[in-house]
Amino acid sequence: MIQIKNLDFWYKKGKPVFKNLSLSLNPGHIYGLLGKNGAGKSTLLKSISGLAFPVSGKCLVNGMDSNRRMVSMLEDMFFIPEDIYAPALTPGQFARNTAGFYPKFSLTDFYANLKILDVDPELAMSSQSYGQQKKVIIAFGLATNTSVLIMDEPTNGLDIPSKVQFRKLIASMLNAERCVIISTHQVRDLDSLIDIILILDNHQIVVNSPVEEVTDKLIFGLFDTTSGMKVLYEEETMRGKHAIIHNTTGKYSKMDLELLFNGVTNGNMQLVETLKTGDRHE
Amino acid sequence: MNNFFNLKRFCRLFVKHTVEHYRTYLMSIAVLTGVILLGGSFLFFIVLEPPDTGFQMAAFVILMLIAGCIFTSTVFADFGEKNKSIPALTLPATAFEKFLVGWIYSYPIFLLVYTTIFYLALGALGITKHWDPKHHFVLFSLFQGEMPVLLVLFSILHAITIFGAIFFKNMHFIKTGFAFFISYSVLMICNTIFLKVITGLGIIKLAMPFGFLNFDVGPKYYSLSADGPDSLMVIITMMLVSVLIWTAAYFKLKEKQV
Repeated sequence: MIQIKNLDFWYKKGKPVFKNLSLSLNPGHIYGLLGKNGAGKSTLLKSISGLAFPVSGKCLVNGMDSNRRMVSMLEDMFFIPEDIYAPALTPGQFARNTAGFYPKFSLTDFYANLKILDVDPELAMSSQSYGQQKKVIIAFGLATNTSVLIMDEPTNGLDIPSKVQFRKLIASMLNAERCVIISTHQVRDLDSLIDIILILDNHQIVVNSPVEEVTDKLIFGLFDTTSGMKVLYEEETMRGKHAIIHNTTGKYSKMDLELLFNGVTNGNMQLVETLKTGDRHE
Repeated sequence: MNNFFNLKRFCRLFVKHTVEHYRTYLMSIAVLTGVILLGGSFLFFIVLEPPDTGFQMAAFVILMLIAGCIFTSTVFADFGEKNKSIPALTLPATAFEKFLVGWIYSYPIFLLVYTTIFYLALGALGITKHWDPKHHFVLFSLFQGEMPVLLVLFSILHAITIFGAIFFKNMHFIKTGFAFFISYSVLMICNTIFLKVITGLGIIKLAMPFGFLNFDVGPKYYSLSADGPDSLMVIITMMLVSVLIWTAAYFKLKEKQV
């Protein structure tokens, strides 16, 4: 579905954002793209959608070079940016004027999404709050039924109930033909939603693992002491030690995405190598 | 799937653009009408005789070029603003269709609207004022020999401005104007040097492209310009330059990044 081949990208020569980055994203998954501020998450999403051209390498979406921004590619892809723009129209008017560009758009889905997200379809978007405007764009993006849905920090600006509804909506619209990529630095917002974790660090995708593989290889927990354990990463807190340890027993633990993210982006190579190796605990 | 132009998709894009921008465009029309009425009222108040057609034509041309450039510089503003550029660029329509919508709004539609407003405002002012009975107010005619030249001049300025509107991210009018005057100065200097080299004459003034060639030979001063078929060539060349810049602007839009 999406193939990124040997991508090199920089805004300023000598300061690369990506170095020879390769990645393959398949339908039927929700990818969580995580990275520190400035790691290049938005740039990667823009490269995928043909909004930023790499210095070398290619991004293919459904076999089409994204740089060419062909209509056949664009009508099967929707990008929800971090900073959205809502024209001075009601959500209903916006949908009537824009839906025709997306062959698989469903007006029924759009109004259903608006209802779930608690947005008035007859109130001009310009007179609604930023969060409400963002919800309209999210509702529209989901209703396009495009096979590629890209979201850059979608939960920014949403209140807590809306974040919950957002997660439910995303989970409900996933099917075998759809590939969803969500970029965020608010890892807690998405830890129950994503099924494949992508962590971008040091110009590369350092982690590209399904959640079940992560929980199979690692154990996340809060311990009074970690002495004698095969600790890969730990953080001292008031309540004890939050730690990631090598899963040698086959026990299941709930993944702590924030802890994993911190471990990886702090340069813990042992953790990265453990995730890369194929010795899953069966 | 036509990835260059599809009439149905283009019409849909045109409607979308109109629905999303008509408020701004109506406000622009109101401002333009206000400027013409206010400026015209002032002029009509201070002059005793009705302005002749030459004066009216001059006012029409100057205001058309200024208003046209200002309006054209805003027509692709959506592609420069960060939050608007992503939906504008990822909307499933071709770069040509997106370019054509902006071109149609800023060229034929602008000319049509501007001319209508100018005539209506001028006509209204001319009728409203009580002139000396010895004088009659006569509206100028658009069907004059200078009109093709004016259209060519508008075309070249339009092409430059639309290129700037796509090239620059913000302050399009100011940045395009600045770039234009710098480039034009450099072009004049190069043109003068080039003419000196090919003619071997002591050219005394800066030679504008397609303008007069002024030089001294002994005590005599000469001023040459193209006339007849050669002046037609100048017009054709300028029109071709406009088409080239429009094409460059289209490719700039095609390669626009966020």
